Amino acid sequence: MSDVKKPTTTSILRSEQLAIGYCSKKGTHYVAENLNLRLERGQLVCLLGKNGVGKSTLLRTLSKTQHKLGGTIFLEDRELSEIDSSQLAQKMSLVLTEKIPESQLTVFELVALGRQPYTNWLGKLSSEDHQKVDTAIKQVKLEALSHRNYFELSDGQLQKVMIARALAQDTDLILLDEPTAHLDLHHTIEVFQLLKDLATKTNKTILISTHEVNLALALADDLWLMRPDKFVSGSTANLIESQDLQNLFPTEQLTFNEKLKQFVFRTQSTNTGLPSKK
Amino acid sequence: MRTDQKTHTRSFAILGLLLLLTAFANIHLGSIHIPSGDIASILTGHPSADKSWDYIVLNYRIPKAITAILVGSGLGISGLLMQTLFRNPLAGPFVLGISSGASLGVAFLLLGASLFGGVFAGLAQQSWSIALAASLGSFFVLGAVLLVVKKIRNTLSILIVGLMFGSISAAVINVLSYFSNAEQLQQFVFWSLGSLGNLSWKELALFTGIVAFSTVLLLRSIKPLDSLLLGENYAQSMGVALKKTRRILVISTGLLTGVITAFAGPIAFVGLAVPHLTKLIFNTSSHKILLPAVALNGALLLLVCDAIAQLPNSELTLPINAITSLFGAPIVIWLLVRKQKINV
Repeated sequence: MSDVKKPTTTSILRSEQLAIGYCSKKGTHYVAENLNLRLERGQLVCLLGKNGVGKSTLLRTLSKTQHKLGGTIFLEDRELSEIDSSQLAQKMSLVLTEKIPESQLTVFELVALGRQPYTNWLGKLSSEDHQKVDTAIKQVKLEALSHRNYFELSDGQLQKVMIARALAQDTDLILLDEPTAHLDLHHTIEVFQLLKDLATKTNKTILISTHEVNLALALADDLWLMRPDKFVSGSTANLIESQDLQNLFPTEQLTFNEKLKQFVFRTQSTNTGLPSKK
Repeated sequence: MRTDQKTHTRSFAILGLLLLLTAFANIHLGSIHIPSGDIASILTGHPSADKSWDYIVLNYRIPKAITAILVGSGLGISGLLMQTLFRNPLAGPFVLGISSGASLGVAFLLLGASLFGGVFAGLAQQSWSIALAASLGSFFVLGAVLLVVKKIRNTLSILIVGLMFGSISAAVINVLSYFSNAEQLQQFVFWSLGSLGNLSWKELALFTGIVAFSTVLLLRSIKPLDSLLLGENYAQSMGVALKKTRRILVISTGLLTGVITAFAGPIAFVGLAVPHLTKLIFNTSSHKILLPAVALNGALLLLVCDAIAQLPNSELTLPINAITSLFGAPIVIWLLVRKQKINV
């Protein structure tokens, strides 16, 4: 482990021979195997891949929400499986896609839950906690809604609240599963820019799974591409060179334009399998 | 935030005062009229005008009021815990079949004698054995529900599973009743109607001990309960040891429901209705506020129900279970209608 080129101290999260997937009665279903991932400190990394390829599974496995099927994950050179949840909560925060159950929490209270790893047994907020919660709410620009009940918010606003909660948790590593799924383009860009700023200015490491491929290409320090057959990672330039971006989506409508460094889609009529109009 | 805290303090003060008043009224009301002055003197440790009054108040009415307080607050707390743990506003010890499980345990004990022979018959005479049987029964059903919940995530299915466990328990109880004799059956039927008034001071001490123990267990879970409001995955990511928390919640709910059902019978609706009423009054989801508030409201509600069940100044007493259901069912319906309005 020590003979790799980059010093291990800079990578905050890495895996060796990681296998992910699901166990059920019918047997083990592997989504991906032999993943050797490295997440460097202070980077914004985007995880790209088509629906169902296993992006969420990977994020859940890396965050210990789901069991790995094999291999090892290291968080700052400690094995992830050996870190208990209360220690992990001070190192890694999550934004998940799951719907949260109904309750009467206000936006402030919800974001303040992110301070739980640092508060006493009653969850009393210190003035520092208060300040961090306020800052987090400010960062996602939701000050005006701070005392509203969260069920009054739109899906997009709620998404930002969940991001603020992760920010309030103030961890070195933040994993976000499709954090912009319910946001319009304007807010999507805003969130990406915020995450990018956090990575560069506060040296936080941020891993996002996303379908916003073009934004990811523009802003990410590194890209993780997940395909059914293989997993590749690298900077945009590297991945263009290796032709991996070009093969991300196996379809003719969506192609990678090397000049623009963006995905473009063609609107020509294609064979949809539907009977054509006569 | 500050104003919230102020209103909460005021609500607590009002509820506390109401509780004292209701407790006094509860002790005051009964089939025999005792002047309030005499009750006050008995309560402060002085003899009253009539010795039999002393006896009634000290050995019947005060234990009954304490039982009502314990049952109400305990059921309220376990209802709140279930609602948070199962992430379902309709969860409660009764809906999830946990009360039925306790009934099943007691049924095995009281009715099982003819099927399983003498050991049970001997045990049935001991009050602690009923408590044990009821607790075991509620643990059993709660454990089974939790196992199923692991497989299914759908909250509606969880409720259906709870109801199914309830009907399985009812079916087994039916079979047991069919094979038991009239005397055993009567004992079980009376137990299942619910009663707050049958406890001696000795039993009351055991009851209080167990309720206090489960409540102390819960104090450490206030923080995890709050984060469970966001679901288990988020809770874990915020440092909650899920398995441990789940275990503590199950143990304390099982203990509370079991021991309450054992001593007071399967009392319906309090566990479901009280947490909702409390959330409406306090308008918060924070368990730091909700746990004590639910305990206060539950105690209050049961004291009132018990006073009504006494039918003051008459010889008649209605089963407490009938009153709580008459009280609780409309509340649940109203809640569902109201919830619909919020969701749309």
